[in-house]
Amino acid sequence: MQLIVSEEGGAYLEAADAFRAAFGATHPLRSWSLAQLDGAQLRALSGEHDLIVAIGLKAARALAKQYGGQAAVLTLMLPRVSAERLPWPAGMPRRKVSHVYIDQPASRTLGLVAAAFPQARRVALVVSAENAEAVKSLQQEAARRHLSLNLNTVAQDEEVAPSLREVLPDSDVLLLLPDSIAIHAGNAQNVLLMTYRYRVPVVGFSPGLSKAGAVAAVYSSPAQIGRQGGVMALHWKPEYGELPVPRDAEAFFIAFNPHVARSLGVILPDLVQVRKRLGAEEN
Amino acid sequence: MKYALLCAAVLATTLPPLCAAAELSESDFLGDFPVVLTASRLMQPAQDAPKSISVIDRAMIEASGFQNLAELFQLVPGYYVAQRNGYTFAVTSGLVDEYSRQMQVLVDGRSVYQPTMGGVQWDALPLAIADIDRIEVVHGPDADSYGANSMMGVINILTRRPDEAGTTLSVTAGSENRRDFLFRWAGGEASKQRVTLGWQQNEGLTGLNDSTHAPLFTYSGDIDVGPGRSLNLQMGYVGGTRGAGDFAQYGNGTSLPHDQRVDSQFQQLDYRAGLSDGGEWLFKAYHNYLMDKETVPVGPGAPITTYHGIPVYLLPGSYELDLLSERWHVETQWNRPLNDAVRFSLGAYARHDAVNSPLNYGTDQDLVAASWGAFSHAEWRLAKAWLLNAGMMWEYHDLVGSRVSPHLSLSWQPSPNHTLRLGVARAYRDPLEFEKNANFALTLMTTAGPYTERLYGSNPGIQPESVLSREVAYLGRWPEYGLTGEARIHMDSLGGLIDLPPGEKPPYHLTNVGESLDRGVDATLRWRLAPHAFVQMNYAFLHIDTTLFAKPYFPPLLVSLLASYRFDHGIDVSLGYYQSAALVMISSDRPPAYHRTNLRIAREFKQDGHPVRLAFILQGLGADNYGYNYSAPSPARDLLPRQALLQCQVEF
Repeated sequence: MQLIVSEEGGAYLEAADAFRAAFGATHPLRSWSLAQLDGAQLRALSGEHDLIVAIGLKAARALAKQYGGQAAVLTLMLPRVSAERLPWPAGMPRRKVSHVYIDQPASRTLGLVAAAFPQARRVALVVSAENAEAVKSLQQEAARRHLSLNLNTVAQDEEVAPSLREVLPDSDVLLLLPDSIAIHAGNAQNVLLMTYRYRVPVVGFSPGLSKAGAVAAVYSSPAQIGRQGGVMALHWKPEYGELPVPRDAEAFFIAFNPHVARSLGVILPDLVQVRKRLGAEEN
Repeated sequence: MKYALLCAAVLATTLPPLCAAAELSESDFLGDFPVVLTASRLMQPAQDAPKSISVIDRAMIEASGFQNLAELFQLVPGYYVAQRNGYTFAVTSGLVDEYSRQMQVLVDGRSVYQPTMGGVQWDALPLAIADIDRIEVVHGPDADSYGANSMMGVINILTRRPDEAGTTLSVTAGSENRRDFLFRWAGGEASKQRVTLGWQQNEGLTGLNDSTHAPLFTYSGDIDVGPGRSLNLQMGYVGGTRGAGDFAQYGNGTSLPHDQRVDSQFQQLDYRAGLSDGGEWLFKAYHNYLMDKETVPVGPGAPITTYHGIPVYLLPGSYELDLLSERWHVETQWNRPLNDAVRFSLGAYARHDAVNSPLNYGTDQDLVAASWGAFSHAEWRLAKAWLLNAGMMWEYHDLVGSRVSPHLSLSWQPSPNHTLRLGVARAYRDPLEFEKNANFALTLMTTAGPYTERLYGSNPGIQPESVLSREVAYLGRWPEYGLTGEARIHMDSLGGLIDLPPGEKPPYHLTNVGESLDRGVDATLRWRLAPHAFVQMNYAFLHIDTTLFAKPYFPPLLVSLLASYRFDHGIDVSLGYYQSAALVMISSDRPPAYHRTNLRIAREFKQDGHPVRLAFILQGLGADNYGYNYSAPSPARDLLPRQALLQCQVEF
């Protein structure tokens, strides 16, 4: 079995360590950094009847481009939308590829909205077309929870601010989804300040966003994703060669930013209780 | 410069194509997001702020490899940094003098500007670089927000919040026998606390008596006071000894090598309450205390004078050179949005400053000055693309009476990524106790009997310095390429500049003697390629026409570049290049042009499950002289601070 990380150190090391710990020392596992492998080596590795675990988009994309035709591939930490766009050769059997996504499922995200802001009924959402699938899931989940979704779709960066101005006055919470147009490092500061002006709390998708000013965030850490990947890999049987279906990360963390909450006059419930409630909803 | 540009080019060519930024990747989930700015007293994004702001964030602080806080300001366009010895730095924007009298410096909003000599004693700030979250530098006058002395700019150092839980131990060793230790702990449940303990020691630069032995303690606690409110308490201490005085062969023996004892501490309270109308109420109180205590030995060196043609030498003895400053400050502020288009803040402060230095002021009594002020700032979105900012500060100071510092700016934002701003501001600098009430007299025993040197006298009629500043600024962002840039053209008319009158014999009386017209350009370009990769370039040009008697008082050209990239195997490589043209300081010292190149190579990995970061830092590669103390004898003026450092940090 082969493990390829996009980069060494940081989150990739965390995920790889957790993968190895869950996978156990009894199984032979060879670890590579993407920089150590050229195209021919990637083709050779994936030309074997083996399982390759790719951590991060760079490793997964390189493997897809150089795929040798035999190995099963499990990717870890990819956003769902990017995993679905990997350039596999035509005719690649679907069950030969699986993923543990870094995104959070709609039920969990809106579960956090309901648990952290029980009075909230109107949830603002500004996304680009790349999140069309995620929006569908959110719309279904919102309907189930009797929440109304104030949705605005943007096609370019310039539209984000006007869209927010449109939806924020009629919303109780703004939900942020990772989106290369609607919210990214270049505009996060403006988006958060605008929500602050409208006194609308933000629910985010990463600890970085919570630190920057989102009142609450739900996310899965690299170690949690790595651990789940290790357990999935244990179930892979060389004789069948197929992998379980792609999954969202099962384990997750919740982060609150009490300072922003206080500034907005939001009374947050107990973090442990919220975590328990979300856990119970999923079981 | 060629070397640095070549390295930057090599870095750039090894980088991945930017199209990757268009696709979502795990780094969109794992990276940090830029935090909001507090340029004026209202929270505003950079493009809505009434002034140009440079931000030094943690990534830049770490990539720079700088170990002295003052050196970080080389990362700001238009800021000149020079070094006098191992721990004394001059950080200035505009007219360069050793005490940086025209620039306000805040730490979490607490003014650390010294009421004794002006400026900041950087080595006496109870602050570890590892505790800094980011530094915001406002270009140009900001007296309408932060009061007198914010005449040429404001530096606001913001520390990390105590809710970043964790335990970190860091050790740094290297040139000049440097041994720095730092322990940080942050945690807690309902209330979050952060404690930092540090020890810094080094022998200083070759040929100088400028060693540092500095214990450090800081505490920050977010106390849980219920929903809608927050209370933060901070305190800190830095002390120890600094080497001072000249070796006998380099001076006339008026200050032989000795230790200066530093005792610097502060306490601060910040309270914030959200109001039901969407506004907020803030209250701040703090106390700063700084005592520099020196018993200066004197003895035979070069002759200090001649008597009837016979050289006169000092006899062994000593004198006390103590300098105490203490500040008590309270302020309150009310922020409120009136509607979607208008927000405002109103506030007031009161301050009590006390200084004591028998040698400088001729009395062992405290010299006390009270000051108070009221301020207001309003932001009005006139139309979708037009934003008006207006601010005003009224102040009264015991030494000079009252004055008003207004500011007005108009921004045109044809799109969210492009802003053009016009601004005009007036600001003042209050005279310091030393400028108004100096009475410096020193009596020493010599081979010809007692010798009295009366260097400085008082000037009861001294008035504040003033500036009228006009600026045009452009702020642009190209998120698809990860680029942000800002350029500012400014014209500052300074009046009543305080200096020594030409031709005067001792005792000198500091007087409003000069005027100046400064015209310049500051520009910054930042290219963020990935969470761990960026390039920042700064450029500043300044032309000064002045009636003061030495010119040009600021390097006409300043350039800096910082590039950092994370390679595989968790290896970070950073390269910094800093260049300054020659100048003449107000003290008439003449630092020549310099250039410095710094390199940092770091690797992150895990050891027994603990994140470890090892860093190797080389400073002053191919450097020219970096010092400014040109009236001093060699080697005190010929500083070549080349350093090699190894740093190890472990998180538990």
